[in-house]
Amino acid sequence: MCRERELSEAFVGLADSLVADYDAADLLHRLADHCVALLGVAAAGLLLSDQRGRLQVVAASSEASRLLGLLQLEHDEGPGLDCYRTGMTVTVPDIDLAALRWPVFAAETRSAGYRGVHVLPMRLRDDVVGTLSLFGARPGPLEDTEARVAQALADVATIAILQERAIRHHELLAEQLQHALTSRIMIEQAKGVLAERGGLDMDQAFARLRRYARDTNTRLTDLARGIVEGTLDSSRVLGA
Amino acid sequence: MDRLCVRVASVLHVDGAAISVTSGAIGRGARGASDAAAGRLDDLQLALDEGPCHDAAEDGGPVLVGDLAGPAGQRWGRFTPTTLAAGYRAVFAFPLRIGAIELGTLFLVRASPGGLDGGALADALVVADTVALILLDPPAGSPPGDATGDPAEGRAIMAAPGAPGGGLDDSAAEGRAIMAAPGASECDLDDITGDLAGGPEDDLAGEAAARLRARAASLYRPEIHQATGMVMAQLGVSAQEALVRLRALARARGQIADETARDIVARRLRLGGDLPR
Repeated sequence: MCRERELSEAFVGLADSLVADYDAADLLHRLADHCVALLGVAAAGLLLSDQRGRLQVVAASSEASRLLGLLQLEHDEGPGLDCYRTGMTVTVPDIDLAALRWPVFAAETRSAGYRGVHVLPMRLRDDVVGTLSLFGARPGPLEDTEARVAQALADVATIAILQERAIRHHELLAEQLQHALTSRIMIEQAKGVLAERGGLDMDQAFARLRRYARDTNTRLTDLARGIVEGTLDSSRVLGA
Repeated sequence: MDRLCVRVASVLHVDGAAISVTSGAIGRGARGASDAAAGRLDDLQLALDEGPCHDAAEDGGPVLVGDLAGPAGQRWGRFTPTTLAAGYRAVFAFPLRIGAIELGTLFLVRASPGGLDGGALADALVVADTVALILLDPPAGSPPGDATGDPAEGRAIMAAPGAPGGGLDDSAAEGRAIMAAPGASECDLDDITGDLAGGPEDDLAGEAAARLRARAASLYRPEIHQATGMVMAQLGVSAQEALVRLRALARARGQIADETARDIVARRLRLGGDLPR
């Protein structure tokens, strides 16, 4: 399919959502996938503020980009948070040059294989509801056209979310956000178990957790639940 | 707990509220309802093994059905007709959980159809967090733990002295203890229900709401959950018991739970120590 065709299909699909009965969680996942397909980026992730006013990772095109979202919330640093706080686009042409500004995020982004990071606000006037992060495999800024397409995609999704909130039809989004919160809490609980058993600090515990998840191709949330509920022997994770 | 449900229903502008405690939780079997009808519908879900609370507990997310007469109601073949016949069109269920700790569900019913709007949903979530904290807290008047206690003490903390047959194995007594024990916890409960009550026409606003939000906010600080995990490993107990111990210890030290959690995470404080690690 040619690019113009793909672009128009993406927008038609998102616009359909605005007039039909739609699942906001699904829409956000499609947005992340559209970004990867249309913009030549390696991955995309979305942070969205929940009903409690806190950011959560709601959608990501890959586990690595989901992790980078989580990591920013964990360590309270990263371009996603800066973008959310200021409502302004944050462009990082080369993550290696941002190591001082966001030490943890920069190192993790690099080791996930990404170099360029571009974060766009999801906002309508003064209301910032979240952020869209794009990760490129090579350093360099997004092309102008790409940046405008990305912002337009983010704008459509923002309107969809605000509309959903407005028309009292937010069941699925509420579920998604609750799951994101529960998952984050379980990860913290599992980090505590690992830290105590292995004599580690919390960052080291998180690193073990992630490594084991990656090595065994397990979702971080499932792994954390197994550790906290005792169905998974934590010494296996510590020995990994 | 019935009184708490009455206030929850009033502050959230719904016609009925009920709370039930999951079988694994400390006060298992404990229930409360704002009125008999809400209580019956809450019980019914347990008996039928279907309904919004069943789904909320299973999926771990809120289940919000603005109109049971619509397509969303069709997923429950027996719960829906009974609830409609009882005169309710909208039902909402919230899991009461803290990460891996599953405590129970909060159930809301309303006669008029329609969803919870953004503000009402946010309020309901704060209320659900608050109720989760109430369910978590041990019955009152129990001896606080200290930093060197053994696991038996954890059980002692949870069993209310004077409660008939109080002990881990007597769930009904513990349920009663949670609801009925006089003392610190009850005062706390009074504070919270007082805050929940607000003015007659109030949404969750003003100082009371701020206090509630601040209380619930402790659930979002990562140190609390990290410390819970550490205490689990230190004492060889479940996540729920670890969090209960942590909060009891904070009270005994005259601290808020956040401060105690930070001390545990920084390894300035540990619980137990003579258990296999």
